[in-house]
Amino acid sequence: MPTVEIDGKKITVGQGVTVLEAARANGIEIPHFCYHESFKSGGLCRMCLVEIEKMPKLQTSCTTVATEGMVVKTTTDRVKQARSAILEFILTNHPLDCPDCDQAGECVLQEYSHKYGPDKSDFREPKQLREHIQLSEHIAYDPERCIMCERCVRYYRDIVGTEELAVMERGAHSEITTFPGRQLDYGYIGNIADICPVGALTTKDFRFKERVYNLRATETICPLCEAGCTIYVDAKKYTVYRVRSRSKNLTSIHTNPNRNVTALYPKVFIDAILRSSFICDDGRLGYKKALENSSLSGPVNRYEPENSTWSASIALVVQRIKQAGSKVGGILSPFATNEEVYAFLYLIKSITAHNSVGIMQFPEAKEFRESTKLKLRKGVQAPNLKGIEQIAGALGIKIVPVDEVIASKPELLYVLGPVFDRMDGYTEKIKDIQCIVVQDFKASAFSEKAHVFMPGLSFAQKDGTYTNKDGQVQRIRIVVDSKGNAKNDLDILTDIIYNISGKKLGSFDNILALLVKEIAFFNNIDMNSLTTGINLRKAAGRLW
Amino acid sequence: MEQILLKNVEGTKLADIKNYTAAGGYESAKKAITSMTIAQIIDEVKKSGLRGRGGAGFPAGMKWDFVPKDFKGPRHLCCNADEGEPGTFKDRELLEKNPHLLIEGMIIASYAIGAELSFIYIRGEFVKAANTLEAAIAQARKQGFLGEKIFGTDKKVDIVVHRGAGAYICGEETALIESIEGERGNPRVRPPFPAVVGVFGKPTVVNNVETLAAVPSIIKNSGQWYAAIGVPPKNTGSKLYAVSGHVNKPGVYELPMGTSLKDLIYNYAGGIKNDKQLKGVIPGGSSTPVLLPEEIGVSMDFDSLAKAGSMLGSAAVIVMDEDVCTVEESLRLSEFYAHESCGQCTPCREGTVWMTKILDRIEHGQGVQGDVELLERVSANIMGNTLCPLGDAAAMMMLGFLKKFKAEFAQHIQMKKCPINKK
Ligand SMILES: Cc1cc2nc3c(=O)[nH]c(=O)nc-3n(C[C@H](O)[C@H](O)[C@H](O)COP(=O)(O)O)c2cc1C
Ligand code: SF4
Ligand code: SF4
Ligand code: SF4
Ligand code: FES
Repeated sequence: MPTVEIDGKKITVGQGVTVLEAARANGIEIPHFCYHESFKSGGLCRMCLVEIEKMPKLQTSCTTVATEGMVVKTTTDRVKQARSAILEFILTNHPLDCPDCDQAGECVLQEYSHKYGPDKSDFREPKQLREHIQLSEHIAYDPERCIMCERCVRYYRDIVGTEELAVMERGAHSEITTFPGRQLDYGYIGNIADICPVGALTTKDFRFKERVYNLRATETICPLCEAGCTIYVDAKKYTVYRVRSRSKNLTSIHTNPNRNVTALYPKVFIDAILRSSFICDDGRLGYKKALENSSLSGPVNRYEPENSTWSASIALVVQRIKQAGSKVGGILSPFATNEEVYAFLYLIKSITAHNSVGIMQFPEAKEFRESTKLKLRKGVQAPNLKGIEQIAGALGIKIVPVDEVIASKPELLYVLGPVFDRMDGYTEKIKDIQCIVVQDFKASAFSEKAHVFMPGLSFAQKDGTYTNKDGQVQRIRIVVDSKGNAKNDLDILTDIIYNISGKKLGSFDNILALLVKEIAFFNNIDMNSLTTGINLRKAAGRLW
Repeated sequence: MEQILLKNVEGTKLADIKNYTAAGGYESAKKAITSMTIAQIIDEVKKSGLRGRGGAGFPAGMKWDFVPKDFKGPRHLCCNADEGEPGTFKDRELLEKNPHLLIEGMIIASYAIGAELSFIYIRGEFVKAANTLEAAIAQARKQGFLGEKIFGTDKKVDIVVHRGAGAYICGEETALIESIEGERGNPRVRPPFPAVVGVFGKPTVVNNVETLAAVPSIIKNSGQWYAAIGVPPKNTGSKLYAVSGHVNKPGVYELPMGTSLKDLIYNYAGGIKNDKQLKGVIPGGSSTPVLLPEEIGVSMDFDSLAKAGSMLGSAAVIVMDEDVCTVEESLRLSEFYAHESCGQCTPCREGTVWMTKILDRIEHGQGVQGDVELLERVSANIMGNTLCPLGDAAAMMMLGFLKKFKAEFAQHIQMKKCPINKK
């Protein structure tokens, strides 16, 4: 393994690692625009120029492989001058419309201009004006802001594999566009807004809604299928504004074809890398469905509507469960977190002495197109089916279809949502059940039939873990506060359990700790990793 | 010196294989294929001192030797016939009038690097030359000089003519390779060099038309013979000089390497038109720095011109008389580079346009104090920072004009108009 010297620091790197990556992994920042860890370097923007001993010209660190004995300098006057020159060139035709550019605040060009740019420009010619180009109904492309780093083009070439974007025209007239008469096909479009270093590509969903520096980014997990992609959710107060991939967070490894990662790492691991870098358009744009909290006014007690307080509702549920005894039926949504699942199954098994639970069926998460190389979607369109299977398995509880639970004619049916439209088909079949308890973050056709409805929280309002199809346990976090009179689903469950049996299951952390102890798979997970997102290293079962 | 490349091209229809073989054509290829080893051929070319005629002057034998010997699988030779540099029209002469000489050179070079399939990448506008070449290739194939089992051996060499689509940048060797592959003609990052990863990922040698056309004479007469012509040891052989501009007899002249520029202009090209004064000469194609009248004693070879602060480049001599406005001239060239920049890399894409805009202002009476320094700064910021040499070429041209004609630029700015332009 070669050892190189960068700014006086001796660094030993893997074979084939570039100077830029070696520096980056060791905390030395080399500014760059066109380099991206997910695809082959182009050497296009020339921002990453560094001085390398024995080479007369400055070299692009993103394309230069670190070799034994190489001496690199990144802070010399020549390097500084080159950086400043590149930024000055980029800005000659850049509109500098930061005040109404969505990227402002997370713009790499803005950041570098502050850090490395000249403080003035001698460019006094009129700037080139450009017409917007329609790439997709979901994305806005502003060629004036485009710095031609071709990340988006390479993303479609190297990652999606469909080569839907290309550079047209030449020189300063260059622009990014699709095949004439075509637009980008839905599925993996939104990622180009994440990887564009400037505000040339923005999602129409987020456009002009809020300044990014007013938003708080929270690391969480996409709940819309079993892939469990890692995402950032950007929010302010009670409102979620944007979902995006965590690509910028992934620094130390990549799928660079030069590196032949596929040969080195198992498939699950590669999937994990991709899932951490990119997300699908359903995940990016469909979040609203999993968010909108329509049940803010508190519990509904249809036996005594005037007595719809939390304490009365919980007392009622407690009393009804005691009455029903083993004649309690349970139905679970695969949107429930592992901790909720555990509490719910504890209730079913220890209190009602039942040994089966019904699981709501969610549609399959199909790929959008056959032709894409990028295939993220897995399992069903819900996040935690695997988690339910694992926990139920460990507790010796059988998973059965919803119909079977209803056909067993329970006296009390306890449904832990989110339900969405998944129970709509049962509104007639449950007519004879004496007591129906529904816990959900929003009302549904089914919850209208509940005798007791207890409003819970959406995935963006609570803590918890999901287990994805590959068996990786991942953390979801509180993104926005809940308003109104809804209650954390886990607290509702543990309250009920305590009131029936005196057993204190505790909070999210206590149950997670319990799961780690009791459920075999959880032992592979480093507790610390769950507070910082997924730990790929452990999950892949190897060190790298 | 007896002409090597353009011998008999006027008067004899050498594009017809009958006339070409009658004059001893294809004997060198036959000799190389039937009686020489690869090592012997490369050795002979190395001894000849032949340097690439495409612009950079890289020793041809050495380039061939870079192709990895242990590589299993196809390799390719690409003849660069994209000739697009302003002022350069020497290859066209060979392509149209002596295509078999190029084909013969390519057979030898292909064999020497182990290529069975070779390409001629020809500038799209050279319609006549491309048709001539295709006809010549068909003739050679019929004679058994190209195709399977050439010259009765079990060796195989074939040539495909690939027409460009009108981009100067496709003359840059890695852009040329992309273009042959059917991609957009954008230069590639080096390393890897074409000798290792070239056309379709295979080891590839790219040589200029004139370079390859010199090979048959070397095989016929020996490397030593060739090395004795010109300015040995490093600037050998004959050279095509394309003279254009304000001279009485513009044209392509084949002369020994190292002919003096003065001789070339005043003797061969018949001196300045209308007995005007000489103002400046671009010695080697638009990107090479301009020379002043007092500098034309220089010997037209790679090393002498480098010493004089310019370059032999493609040896395209552009002669400018006293009526030329150097601001306007550099504006034209700058426009060319801005138009031809592929746009991949920042300094070239933005810098050439900026340069053009400043020059345009100065030429049209809108220059301001500091513009000359700004032009210098912009050029210096392009220089050495680009992905391929096109950016350098633009900067080199600009810096050349500024160095030699700074006063004229300043005058434009002061007078707020072009002091020369008449119309
Ligand atoms: C912008 C640009 C344009 C070029 N155009 C040509 C050309 O038209 N013909 C050519 O032979 N070489 C051209 N070259 C040089 C080639 O890249 C390459 O060096 C040459 O073909 C090698 O051949 P040689 O070794 O025989 O000189 C160009 C280079 C650049 C940077
Ligand atoms: S749109 Fe963005 S990602 Fe694409 S080339 Fe332009 S700046 Fe780069
Ligand atoms: S693939 Fe699944 S988990 Fe990933 S973003 Fe799409 S819906 Fe969400
Ligand atoms: S220097 Fe110019 S022509 Fe060459 S790669 Fe850069 S932009 Fe393209
Ligand atoms: S990051 Fe290296 S050239 Fe763009």
